Amino acid sequence: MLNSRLRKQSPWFGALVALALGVIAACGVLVYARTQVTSMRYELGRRVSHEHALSLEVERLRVEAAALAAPERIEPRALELGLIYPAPNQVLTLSDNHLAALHDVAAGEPR
Amino acid sequence: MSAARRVRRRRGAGLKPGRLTAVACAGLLGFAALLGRAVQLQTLDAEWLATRAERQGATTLELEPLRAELRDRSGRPLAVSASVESVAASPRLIQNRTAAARSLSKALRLPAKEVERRLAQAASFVWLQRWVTPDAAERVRALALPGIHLHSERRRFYPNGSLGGPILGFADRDGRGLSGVELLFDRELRGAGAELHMNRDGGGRVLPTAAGSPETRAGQPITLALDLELQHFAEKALAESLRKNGARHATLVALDPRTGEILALAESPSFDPNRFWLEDSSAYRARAFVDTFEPGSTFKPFSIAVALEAGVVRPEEIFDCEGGRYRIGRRTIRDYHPHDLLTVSDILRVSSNIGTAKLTARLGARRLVDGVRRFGFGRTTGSGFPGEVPGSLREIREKQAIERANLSFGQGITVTPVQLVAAMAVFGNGGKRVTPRLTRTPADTPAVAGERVLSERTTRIVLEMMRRAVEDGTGKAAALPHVSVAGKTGTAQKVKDGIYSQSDYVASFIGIVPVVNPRLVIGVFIDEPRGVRTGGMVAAPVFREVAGYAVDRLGIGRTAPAPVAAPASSARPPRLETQENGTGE
Repeated sequence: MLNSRLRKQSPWFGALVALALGVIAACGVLVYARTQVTSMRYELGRRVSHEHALSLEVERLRVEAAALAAPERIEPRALELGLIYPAPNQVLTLSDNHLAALHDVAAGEPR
Repeated sequence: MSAARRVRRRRGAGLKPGRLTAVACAGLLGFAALLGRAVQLQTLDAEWLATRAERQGATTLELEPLRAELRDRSGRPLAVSASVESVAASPRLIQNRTAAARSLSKALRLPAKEVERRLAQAASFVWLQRWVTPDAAERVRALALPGIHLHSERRRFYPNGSLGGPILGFADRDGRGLSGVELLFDRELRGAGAELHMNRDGGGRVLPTAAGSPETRAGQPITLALDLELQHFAEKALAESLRKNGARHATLVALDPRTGEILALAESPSFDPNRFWLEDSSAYRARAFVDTFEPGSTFKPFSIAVALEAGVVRPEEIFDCEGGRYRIGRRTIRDYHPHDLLTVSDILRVSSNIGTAKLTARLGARRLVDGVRRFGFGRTTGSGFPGEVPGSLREIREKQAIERANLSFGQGITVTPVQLVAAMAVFGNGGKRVTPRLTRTPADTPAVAGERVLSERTTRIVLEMMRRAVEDGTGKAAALPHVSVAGKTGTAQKVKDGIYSQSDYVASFIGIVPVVNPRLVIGVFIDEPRGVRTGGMVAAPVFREVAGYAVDRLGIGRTAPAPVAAPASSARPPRLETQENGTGE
C-alpha cells in the first residue's frame, strides 16, 4: 500500500531502488571476484613454494641416486654377491642385425 | 484498540512523501559517493596506488646462478649442484653461550669447545658449519635456539668421489670453477643469475607475480667424452699397479683415434673434489696435461715413421746395431739388449736405440725435428685444458749428431702423456692428427678432417711394426687373446738435477686396438716404479687389463656372427655362435 502510494507520488522512485540494488549487486560481485583473486594468489604462492621445496628435494635425491650408483660403490657390492667380470673370451658383441632379429622375436614377428 | 484509534495510528505512521524522498536521496547520494570513491580508487588513482602498494610489498629475490651438471658420455652425472643448509650464529643474540654450544656440538657433531669459541666471537655473524647434512640441519632446527640460523646455500657434489678428480677439477663455495673441466667450461656451466620479483602481504606471505622466472638462471650441462665405467676400471688398475710396483704416480689416457675423444683419463693417486679444501694443491694437478717427461722408446715409432715417410729407409733394410754399443763423437749409445743386424721392423720390435739413431742419421737433424713436430710435439694439443703445457722440442743443428740421435729415441724432448697419446693416435687414424676432445662428439657430427701427418702406407707399415713389437717384442705383456694390439714400450730415465738418474724411471706403454680399423689408443705411464721398472713389465700389463675391458665394453672385441634368416614358422631368437670368428677388425 505504501509502495503503491510512493509509486503514485514519485514515479522515478522504483528506478532509483533498482539502480541501488544493481549497484549493490555489482559491488558484491566485485568484492567476491577480488577476494577470489587474492585467495588464488595466496594459493599460487603456496604452490610455488611447495614446488620449490620439491625441486630442492629432487636435487638432493639426484645427488643421492648418483652417489648410490657410483661404480666405486656398486663394484664391491657386486663382488660380495659373487659377481665377477667376464673374461675376454666370454664377451660377444651383438651386431645391429642381431639386435633387430631379437627385437622382431620379442615383438612376435618371426623372421 | 478502537477502530478510530487504528485509523489515526495508520495515518500517523505514514511517512510524508517529502521525508521519504529525502531519505532515499540521502541514501542514493551516499551510494553515489561510495561509487565515486571506488571509481576513483580503481581507475583514476589505480596506477599511483598500485605503484605505492608495489613499493611497500614488492621484494626482489637475487637468485644465484644454478651451476649445470657435468655428465659422462652416457649422461650419468659426474658433478651436480644441490641446495644444502649451513648453520650460522649471531653471537650477540645468544644469552647462555655455554649451553647453546653444548646443544649445537651434539647436533653438528662438533667439539663443544670449538663451537663455544666461535660463539664467543664479537662478530654479529659467524658460520658454525657450512654445508651440513639434512639430518644435522633438522637437529639444529629442532633446537630452535635464538640467534642460530640456517641458511640455504648451493653446493657442488661429485657423486663418484675421487673418480676422475684431477680431470673434473672442482668449483668453489661460490660456484666458480677453479680447476680442471670445471674451470674449462666455467662460463657454460655457471649460467646467469636472475632476479625473482615477488610481492609480500602484511603478514610476509609471498604473492607471486608474472615477472621473473627462475628457469632462466641455469647453466648449460656439459657431456664429457669420459666413460664412467672405463674410468673406474682404469683408476682401479692404476691403483693396483701403484701398490704392486711401489711407484710414485701413474697416469692412463684412453682416446678414440677417430674423433680424439678422451674416453678415460685416470690418475693415481687421485683426489676427492668433494673435499678439495682438505687436499694439498699439488693433488689437483691433472698430470696428464701439465706434467712433462722424456718419452724414451715410446718415441721411436715417430722417428722411424718420419724416416720411412721421407723415403730414406725401407722397412726391410738392415742396420748394424754394433753389438749394443755405438760411439757418436765422444758419447756412447747403448742398447738394453745387444743386437747386431736388425731390419727396421726389428729395430722397433726390440727397441734398439742404436738402430733408431742410425736410421734417422740419414734424415738429418732438421728433417727429424720438422717431421716429429708435425705429430704435435712442442705445442699444446688444442684440448683447451687449463694449464696444459706444450712440452719442449728444441731445434737441433745438423752437426749436433748426439742430440739428433738422442731425440730419435726420445731423449732431449719432453712431452705430456696426452700429447704422446694424441700423437700415437695418428697411427690409429690413417695418418691424420686429431685434437684431443674432452666433450662427447654429437652423433651427427661429420668426421673430423685432421691434418695429414703421414701417408696411409707409412701408417700401415709402422702399425704393423708395432703389432710385431707386441706379438714378439718388448710389449708381449700387452697382448690380448681376442684382439690384435699394436704398441710400443718405453723406459725413460728421469732427469734429476740436470743429469739422467740411474734409479728413477718413467715406465710406459702406448697401444692401439684393434690393429685394423683402430678404435682405441691407450697410454699407461708409471712414474718411478721400484724393483722391475721397464715399460714392458710395469706398464704393459696395465694396458692389457684396461684394454681387455675396454674392447668388450665399447663393443670392439669379438662380435657374434650375423644371424641367419630362419624359416618364417620359427620364433626362436637367433643363436649366438661362440666360434672364434674374428677380432672386430
